[in-house]
Amino acid sequence: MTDTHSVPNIELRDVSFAFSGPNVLDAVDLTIGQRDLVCIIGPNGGGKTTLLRLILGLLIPNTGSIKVLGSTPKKSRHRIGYMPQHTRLDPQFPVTVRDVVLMGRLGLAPSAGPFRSIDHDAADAALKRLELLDRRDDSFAALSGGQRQRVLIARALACEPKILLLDEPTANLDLPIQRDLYDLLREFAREFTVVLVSHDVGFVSDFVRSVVCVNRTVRVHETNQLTGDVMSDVYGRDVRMVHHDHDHHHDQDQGRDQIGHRHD
Amino acid sequence: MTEFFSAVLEHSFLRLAVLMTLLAGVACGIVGTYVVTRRITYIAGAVAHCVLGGMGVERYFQAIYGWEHTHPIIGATVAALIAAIIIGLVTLKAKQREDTVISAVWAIGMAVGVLFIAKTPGYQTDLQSYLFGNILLVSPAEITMVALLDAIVLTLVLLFYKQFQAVCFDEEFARLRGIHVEMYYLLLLAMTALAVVLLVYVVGIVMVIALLTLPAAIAAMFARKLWHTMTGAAILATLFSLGGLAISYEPDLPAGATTIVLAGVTYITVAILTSLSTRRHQPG
Repeated sequence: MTDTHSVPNIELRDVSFAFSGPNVLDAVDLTIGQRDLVCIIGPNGGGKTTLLRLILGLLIPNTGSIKVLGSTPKKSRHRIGYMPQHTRLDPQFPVTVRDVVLMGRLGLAPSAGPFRSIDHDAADAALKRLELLDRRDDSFAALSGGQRQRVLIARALACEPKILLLDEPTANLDLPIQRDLYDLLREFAREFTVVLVSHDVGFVSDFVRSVVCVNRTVRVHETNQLTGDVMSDVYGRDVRMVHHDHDHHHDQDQGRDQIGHRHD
Repeated sequence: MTEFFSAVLEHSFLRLAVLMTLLAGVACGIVGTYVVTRRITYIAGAVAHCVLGGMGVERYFQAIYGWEHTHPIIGATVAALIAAIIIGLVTLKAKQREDTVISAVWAIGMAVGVLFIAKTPGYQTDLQSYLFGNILLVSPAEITMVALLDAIVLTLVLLFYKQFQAVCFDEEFARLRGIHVEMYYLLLLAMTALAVVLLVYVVGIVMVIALLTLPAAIAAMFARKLWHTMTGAAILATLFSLGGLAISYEPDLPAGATTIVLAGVTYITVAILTSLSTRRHQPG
């Protein structure tokens, strides 16, 4: 851990957002530093996805300002490697694994004509890091859910990102494979900023520097402060959400549901 | 069938018809693959029915005001493009009730065509061949136009294959990579419009969607890549329309309808066989 974390990569100042009705996110202040490894957690409907979409510039905040890599989200988003949940995609689509990863090279390759050989090399290098190089000519449809998710991580890597943004990267993975993936993400965080959304708060706090709890408002917890009774709260059977002064403690029930996933 | 092949050598109108199936197959394979993977079959249907409006207007002005140098295919192309752009803008801007707008465009295009054709002298045969296709009446001028439309579609796809693929597979990711998603979507609909115009000559307005989608749907069951699907779909589309032409010739059946039945039966057979074989490979 060097002091590069003090260089902000993502900065939200007093950001509020509503679709039409009550605020989904309210007065959010959040700073994520360079080469930080951060996990966003929170109940479903708490605003995790909205927060991601704001950072990507796919949504515009009603109030407040967002800076990504020193500029607007829209201007900086080509430097973000984004991994959506694979369940959003059509599993029948006729593409190979390598075709999918090559999509990460869009915006880097010339717009007319096919991908260049350096794009193919970059795609292969990304696949290699995810240990999927031998599957590159396979149909994307033939892979398991977990493998597809890893292909989408490779695609995000092929973007040559400054920030890697992962939406539920561990959703379809067995525990040992999850552990491997977190090790890999820690390795990535030496090269660029890594932000992931996860349900598995207990497990993830072993690996990340800080946890961002999103439930309309945002609270940040350094994981090295997650000690003592907070840790037992997080890991115990009778789990509660990480202790903090959210102004709505009734969400503890939802928090229990969230963390309950890791006992499945 | 043998009678058909000797007839092809004998009659130039049959040779034109065969050429038409080849040219239409190319556009059909490419565009049909996009229509199937991007799931815009319904939009293609609406665009096809608007072709009647364009043809009707063109035919009317030709007959009443003596527009000698124009041709219904120009009216058809213009109408198809306008319909595609309207539907495209509506689906991009208004996120709700787009199916209502698509249906409205579908019916209005058709209605305009019916009105103009009703007021055009000698409309009966025209209406029949527009709706159900008459590949045997294809003229050399139409072949030239169709070849031109083919060339446009091919050029666009050769240039922007990777963008179209990304927009069809994962629109949001494509947008984040700086791809002008809306532009490519509209371009895709415009290509769909051009392909629909070609196919109207082969199977007619009413049956266009089937020939556009069934070959691509069959090819997609076996292909691992988008361009493999396109190639397979182009070959299948050509085989279906050629087969429809050959089978229908001797018993004097409508060629368009024969083509569609051939494509439909093939699709259903392949779908059943593949689902049976995957079930056998998956225990339990």
